[in-house]
Amino acid sequence: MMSAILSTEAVTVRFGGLEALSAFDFAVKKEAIHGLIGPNGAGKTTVLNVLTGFVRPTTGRLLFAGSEIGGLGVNGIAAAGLARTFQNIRLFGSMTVLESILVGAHLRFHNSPIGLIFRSAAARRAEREMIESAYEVLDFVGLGSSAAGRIATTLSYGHQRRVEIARALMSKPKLLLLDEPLAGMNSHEKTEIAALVCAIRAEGISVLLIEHDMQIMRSLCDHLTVLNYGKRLADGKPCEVLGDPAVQAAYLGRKRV
Amino acid sequence: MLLGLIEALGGGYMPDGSAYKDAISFAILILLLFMRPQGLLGRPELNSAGAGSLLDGVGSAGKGAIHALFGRMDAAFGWLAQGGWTIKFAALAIAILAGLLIPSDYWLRILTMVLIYGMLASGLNVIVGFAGLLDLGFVAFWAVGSYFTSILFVLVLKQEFGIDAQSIWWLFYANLVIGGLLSAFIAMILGTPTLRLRGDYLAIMTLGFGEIVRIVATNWIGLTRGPMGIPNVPAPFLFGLQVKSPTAFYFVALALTVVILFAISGLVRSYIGRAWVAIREDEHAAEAMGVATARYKLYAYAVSGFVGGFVGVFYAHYQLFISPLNFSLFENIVILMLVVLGGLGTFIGPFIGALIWVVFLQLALDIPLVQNFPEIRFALLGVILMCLMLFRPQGLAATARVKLTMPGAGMERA
Repeated sequence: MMSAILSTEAVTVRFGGLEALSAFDFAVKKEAIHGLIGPNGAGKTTVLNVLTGFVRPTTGRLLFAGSEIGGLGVNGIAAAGLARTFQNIRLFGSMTVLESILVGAHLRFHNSPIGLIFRSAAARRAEREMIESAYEVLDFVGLGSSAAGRIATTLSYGHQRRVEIARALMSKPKLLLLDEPLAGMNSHEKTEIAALVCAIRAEGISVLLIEHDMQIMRSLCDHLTVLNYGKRLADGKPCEVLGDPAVQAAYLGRKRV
Repeated sequence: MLLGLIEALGGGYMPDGSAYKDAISFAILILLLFMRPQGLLGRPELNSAGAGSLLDGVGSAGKGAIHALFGRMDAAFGWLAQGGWTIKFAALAIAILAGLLIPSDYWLRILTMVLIYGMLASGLNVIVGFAGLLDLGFVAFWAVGSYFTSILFVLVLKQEFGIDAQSIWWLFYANLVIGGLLSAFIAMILGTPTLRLRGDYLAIMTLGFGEIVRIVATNWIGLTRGPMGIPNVPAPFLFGLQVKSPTAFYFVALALTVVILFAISGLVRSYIGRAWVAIREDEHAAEAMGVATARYKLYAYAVSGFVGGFVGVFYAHYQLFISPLNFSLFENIVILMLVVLGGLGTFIGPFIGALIWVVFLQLALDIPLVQNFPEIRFALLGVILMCLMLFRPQGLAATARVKLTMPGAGMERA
């Protein structure tokens, strides 16, 4: 058994009287592709928001790479090595692809403002290295360097997804959270993104994936967690989990009709 | 009503209270926005509704000839922005030649004002154009710089110690930096409570700060001589030679402009500038990329404040007289307008805006109607601005888009 990179212990989130997440436990293993599924409104997005610091858990603990990240705040959690993409793509309008993904490398820059003003050798070197690294990541996500100079929001939908993934990868994360990366894509594009997710894992980055496409999830994930009404319904290998009658009743059963 | 009540009470109880009445109400307003960013009775959602970016929702109307004109202009600005050092040196050479060849002192003074307003607008552009935070209190930083150097030179050194400006001429240059740092420090203090605010609420709060500084400058007579202002601010010296002629002032202003633009572009074309633009475009996404948004907003305030203070020091030694009237809300709106007119988030935009504004104010004096009613110029400019917002909401030099990567750092693959 590999150790967990990310785990939650009895995380509960209450919004007023509504319990969006109750005593939620789960663990993402190192270098695994972990899927999180559940019907609409089950609390998947709440899990993601808790993990990335946008929502503070009412009770419970979050452990990431061996340390507590519950109180770090959004940018603190990003600094700890947890990167994410958004369900509805959130690229920076008016920025080129290259500039956008360099924002992802923000925390890898350590130059002083004085050095930047005078364009010191160290500042120039850091910038050059990051740009090199950005081109590598662009190649890696399948965009190629020709896209680098274009305004990111003018790209096609599928390419914008890749830019967002590239931006997240630029921070050299330990864990990548992908929020419905396949939404709105055709089957060909879906296969490509699935291959990209595998390639990301092969780089040693753990992936937590929220997705609706069961077929892809079944073949892609090492581990699945099913969420229903803010509670963990099932957890285990995809074939076991998806064969669970309770899961089928809550989720798949309704869809097959 | 609540404000009125507290204002009246404060006016009664505080020594000298009545003079600071307005300052008190602005202070309360700021306190209120700090405690409840959504207003006393407002709902929290209202504050999160309006994202800060002024560049949002930019469309363009107009047709035919206007489009063709703008198209040609866009191409020109786009070309200018693409150009590297050659274009920059050419621009500098033109500016230097203008200083040498223009014989008229009158026009040199006007060009100096263009540079001063252009620098101020560039400073404001950092916070409004790049970081996307509306700031109506920018004029306060300008005032702080101006008052700092004037008080030091005139009220302290000259009147208290009888030290002549010529004997410590270098202090002016030190003051540029010290005044800038002082303003940057104040900007960060003022910026702190505004960090949670956006849109309209942010505008109101910064407006409050700007007014407080002006009101304090008007009423703290012991420090600032109040509405009488500070006369006889010495003109700067350079190695024993006094900067007196309009040509000399023009070149000092030009040198300072180069310094300011060099510094701002160094910061903007780096990870700091990218963090600012990311905050402007999508604060949550920026935060999720590890950008400490609160800290970078404060950096933007600090840089903006530094430029304000820096220019303020020069302004005081150029005008030779300052009073609170120089730093009114109207001035702040003018500076903001220059940025919007020229193009938010560009380097050249603030100077284009300043050029149009200052030159227009002078040229319009030749129109017969304006000669009788000089104030009508402001109304005319308002009309021009409205037309521009209708046909060209992104500003004149919008295509002079600033690249956010360091020049010469491996763009050759693109």
